Amino acid sequence: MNRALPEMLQWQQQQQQQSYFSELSGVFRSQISHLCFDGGFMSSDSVVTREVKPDNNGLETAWPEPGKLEMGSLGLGFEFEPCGPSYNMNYAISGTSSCPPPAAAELVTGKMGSAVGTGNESFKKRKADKLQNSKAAVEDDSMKKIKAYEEDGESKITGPSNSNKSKHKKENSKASEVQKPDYIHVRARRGQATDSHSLAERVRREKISERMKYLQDLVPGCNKITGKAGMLDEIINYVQSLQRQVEFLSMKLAAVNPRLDFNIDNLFTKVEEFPAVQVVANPIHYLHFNPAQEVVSETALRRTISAPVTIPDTSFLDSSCFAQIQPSATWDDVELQNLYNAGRFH
Amino acid sequence: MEGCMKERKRVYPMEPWKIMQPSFAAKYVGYLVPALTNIGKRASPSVDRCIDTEKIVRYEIDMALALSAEGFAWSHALKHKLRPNVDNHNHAGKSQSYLAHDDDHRNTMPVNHEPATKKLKVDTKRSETEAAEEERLTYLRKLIPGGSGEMMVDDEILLIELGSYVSCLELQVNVLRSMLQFN
Repeated sequence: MNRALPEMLQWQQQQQQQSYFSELSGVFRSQISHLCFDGGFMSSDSVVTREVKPDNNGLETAWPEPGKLEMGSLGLGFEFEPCGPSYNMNYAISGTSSCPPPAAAELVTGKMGSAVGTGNESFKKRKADKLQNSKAAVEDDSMKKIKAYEEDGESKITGPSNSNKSKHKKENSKASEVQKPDYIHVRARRGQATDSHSLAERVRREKISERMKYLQDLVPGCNKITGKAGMLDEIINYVQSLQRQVEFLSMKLAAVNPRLDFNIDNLFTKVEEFPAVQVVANPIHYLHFNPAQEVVSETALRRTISAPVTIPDTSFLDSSCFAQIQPSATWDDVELQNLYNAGRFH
Repeated sequence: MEGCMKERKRVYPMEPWKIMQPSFAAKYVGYLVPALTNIGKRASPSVDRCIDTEKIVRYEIDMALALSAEGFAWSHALKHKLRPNVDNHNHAGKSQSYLAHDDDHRNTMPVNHEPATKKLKVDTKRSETEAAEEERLTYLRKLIPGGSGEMMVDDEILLIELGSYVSCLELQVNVLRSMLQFN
């Protein structure tokens, strides 16, 4: 069964709604208790569903929540394949669900008919021996998560899902699961606490450390520093220094402001070349906007922004709308509005 | 990333600022230059107005930052701080108070963490380092606009917002520097 699990999961993804889940969860639980698994094919608690994960970057196969329950029905379907009474159970389950069980069952049985026989032993083996291969590991994980999910039901989705995510990452750790139907089957790290709170806490801490690493790349000079407190210190210092710089530059700008010598076209070439600020050796030109030329100037600006880094300044000067003007003499409200609108790229 | 189970929690992409980085500078300049020329036009040059000009320029600079970096919690908070909504009576007349508050905020330099850090690094008790981290996090919340608000209660979101805030600050500094370079 486990070979086709990923395919089925992906098939599921496209089909199902979340409503199925809530419908079927009740159905499943009541019926699972009545199931008798012959030959120890699968213990009653290992009902197949997929885990729910808010973000799937931990897994290579995306297993969204909606299809989960359908997965369950299918899983039960194909597992019941060899057993007579359970086959009827499959139908019963399918009957209650509003998903396309017959088609699903066919699909499943088609795939699993051959695999079921071999699935028994290999499945058991896989449970005992974690990492046969990556696929087995993934499926194995799925089984674990499925157990965890099934036991807890809807309300505890986030808990096991978060912990499942951490479990998936720690595949090489030893499993500490117990085959009891009432417990969360979570694969914990060696020597770590196994209750859901601490696991969720651990996942949260991992996410935070991930963010801290990202910040470490952002803030210069943080590579040597390890430890959260030191990193936060550096970040604080950096943010403060940036804010102080902005303040200083704003004061300088305020001092310069009356002159209004804003070199706009040079400015626009420079903004393309960020973060490296380069000196552009060109004579100073001023943009002159008037209503008739708004469109032209806007496209010129757009061309600037979208063009790659090496756009030369002379391309600006080719346009006929640019001319040298006195700084403040010809500005009026209309022109300012045009410039302002031209500068707004949305 | 897709939407997650917790509806109240927004899921942010890892590097959202990269998406908006090319347009940030353009938007920033596009807003700031006209605003500054407006100031120059409005104000009559006199000694008394120097301080006011500074404040107005500072206001415009922050406004440009808030408008050029849409979509972040901190930019949203900054925008609201600068431009109080008419219907929100709590923030009435906030712009003046923003400027005043801002000066105070910047003048009160933070507690120097250096000795505390060294002391705590020697101390191996986990709870103390956690307390130190908490201290720093609360300080960071004061630095980033909107850090104390309800959007950034979660530490993880705070760190995400920090990332975008830091990179936008960098861009802003670059833009301002280049604006001043040719004058």
